[in-house]
Amino acid sequence: MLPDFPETKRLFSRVFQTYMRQKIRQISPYSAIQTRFLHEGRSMKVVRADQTESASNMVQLSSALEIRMDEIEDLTLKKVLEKHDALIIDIAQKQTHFIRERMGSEIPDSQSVDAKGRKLDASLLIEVFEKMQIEFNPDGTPQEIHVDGPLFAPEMLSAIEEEFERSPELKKRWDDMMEKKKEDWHAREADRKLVG
Amino acid sequence: MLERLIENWLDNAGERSYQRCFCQMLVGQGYRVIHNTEHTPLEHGKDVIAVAPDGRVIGYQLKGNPGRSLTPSQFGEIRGQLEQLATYALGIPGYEKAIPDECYLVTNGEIDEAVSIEIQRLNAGLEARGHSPEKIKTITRGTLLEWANSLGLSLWPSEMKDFGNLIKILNCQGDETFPADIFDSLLQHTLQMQESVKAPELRRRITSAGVMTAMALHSFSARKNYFAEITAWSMFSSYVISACEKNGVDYNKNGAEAVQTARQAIYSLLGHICSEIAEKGSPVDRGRLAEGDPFSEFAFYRPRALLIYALMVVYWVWSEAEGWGDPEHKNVVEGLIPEHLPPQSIWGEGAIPHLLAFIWYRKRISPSPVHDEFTGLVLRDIQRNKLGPANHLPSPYYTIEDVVRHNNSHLLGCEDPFGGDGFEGTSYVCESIMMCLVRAGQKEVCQELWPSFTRINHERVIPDEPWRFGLFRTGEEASNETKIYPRTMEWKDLQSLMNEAEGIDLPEALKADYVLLLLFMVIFPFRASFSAVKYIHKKFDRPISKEE
Repeated sequence: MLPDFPETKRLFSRVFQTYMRQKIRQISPYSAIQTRFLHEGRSMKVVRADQTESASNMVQLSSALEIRMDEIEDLTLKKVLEKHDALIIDIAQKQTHFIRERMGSEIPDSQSVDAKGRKLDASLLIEVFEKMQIEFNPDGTPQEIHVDGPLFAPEMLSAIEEEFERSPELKKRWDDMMEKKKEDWHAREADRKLVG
Repeated sequence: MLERLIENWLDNAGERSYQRCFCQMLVGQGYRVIHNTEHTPLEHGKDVIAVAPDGRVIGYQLKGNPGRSLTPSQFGEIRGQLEQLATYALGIPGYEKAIPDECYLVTNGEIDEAVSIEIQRLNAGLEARGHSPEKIKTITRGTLLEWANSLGLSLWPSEMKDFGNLIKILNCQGDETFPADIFDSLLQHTLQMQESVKAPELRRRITSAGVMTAMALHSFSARKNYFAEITAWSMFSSYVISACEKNGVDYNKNGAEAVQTARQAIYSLLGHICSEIAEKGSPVDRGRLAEGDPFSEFAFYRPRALLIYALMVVYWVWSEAEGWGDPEHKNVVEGLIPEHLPPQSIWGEGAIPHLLAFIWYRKRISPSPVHDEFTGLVLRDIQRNKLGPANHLPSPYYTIEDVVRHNNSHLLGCEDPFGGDGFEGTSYVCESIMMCLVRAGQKEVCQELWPSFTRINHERVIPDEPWRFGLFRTGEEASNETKIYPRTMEWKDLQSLMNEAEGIDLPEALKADYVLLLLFMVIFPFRASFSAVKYIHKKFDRPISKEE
């Protein structure tokens, strides 16, 4: 073989891996979701309080990174990172697609809303929130809710906000719904007890 | 190459480290080791006593002469002990009045010709006193090498990767944590855990793995790194148990003797830790559990202390059940383990098996409601941590070394071992601690802790087959289960759930050897699953009865 410098290259390799991991988290719409490593086993199962179960298996997401031989001579660190950036976008897209697909198949009908072609407006948003279980902080403010998907573009959300401002009736529906959600949360929290 | 490695090991092995290999090789030849002790003043050279397949009782006195010959002056020092071994009653339970039929002077070096003549003269004297001719024989380096080659090496994995792993372990400094991940692969391949093996071959493979374990410990034995040695022999034991169960082979006939010999080594090693602590000072001497560079001890002292308490609890329980090897050690252990732990002893969920061992010990020697109150405080603190905003306790898959590296990764310029793993709102240990409280009848404490308990996702790893529990990692053959408890639960329903004995996902022979099981969980905290803790709790969490 020709002379090589594997020890230092391994250090670079680690840097690239860390870079990819951090960058994927930065751009992923699901970056706020906690990551958990599985140290053993291939399958996952959630057993809920009502004894219902959801099982899932591991899925491998992969993407190819290509460097042509004729590129090598003029490679710089900047160019290498740019190549990784392309891969990061691809992986993040695949991950997002996978999560959306999995959520679509796992969420029961009772928690889904079929808009039947209607565009997202204040009324539909209320309908969506009515289906959701919302958690609150001890001070009574709702916990942060993340929205995902092209439907929830910032301009769309601004338009809905304006719609609420224009219509006291819609605003009241929203407030009443949130008040009900808070009561539900209080009831759930009061329900956390060991009895008998 | 492997032959050269084994030769090199034998030529550098101390008496203590080759004795364990020697016993495994005897077991491999069908012997039953009935006495195996590392030197104490009371043993009079009676290192190993074994019963041969034909029923003869054989005594062995081992001498460490790596790379040298036993000289007449060295022989002079042990001559009296050899004569005693050949002529005195053994005084071993079951063999109180038996005198060995044959005796061997064993050395990993050679024997000087002058010593051979001395032995001939000793034998002639014994024969004149009515003993059988040539009662004392010798086993030297050549025979040991031949045994090691035929019983051990021939079945070692021959892949280059395995060879590289063995070299990696042999190249360890010896003062570090035993590389269980590397050893796991070597043991799995030697015992052929991925294939089906019949009983005769498995027996040979067990001996082979035993020889490999002794050899892999070379650097660690040289540094008297007792915990590393305990780790390796515990792994050997659990893997043998798993291999027998996996292949449907009778453990008692094919694996128990090798595990029993490993157990004896583990017990001796626990005794060595105890002796070392006693030598380091009296119970009132603070800091006597320190090791190595003192300036970095700020990060390790308390976690190490808690680990040592747990190991000494295992030693105490073991000795109380089977008799103290060194009766003075009872006072050392009881003087060492404090009544209360210092604050912030929990560095991660990996500390919980250590903490439970500590609590169970305290409950056994001085029953008091204080211990259950402490258990309640521990659960409260963990739940607060898990539901709090930051610095969540890591899962039991992370060691204290991982935690220290994570906390100081910038300072140390090292990779963060957590690598983005998150621990918020999830726990592998809260169910087990809640179970202890429920079984202790701490209803009010449980009621107070219940709301937070129901907010936590309780994680479990359930191996596909029970034998996989005995491995360092189950591989892909396990299921990760997240349990969410109902918000409202009846106390009696919780009681019946927590009172199940469980342990259905544990290998039978490991369940039967609950001291080894506790030790396994102390060494590998991720094996302290809800199911395992529920099972073992019934064995340990109780006051000493009057009969004891």
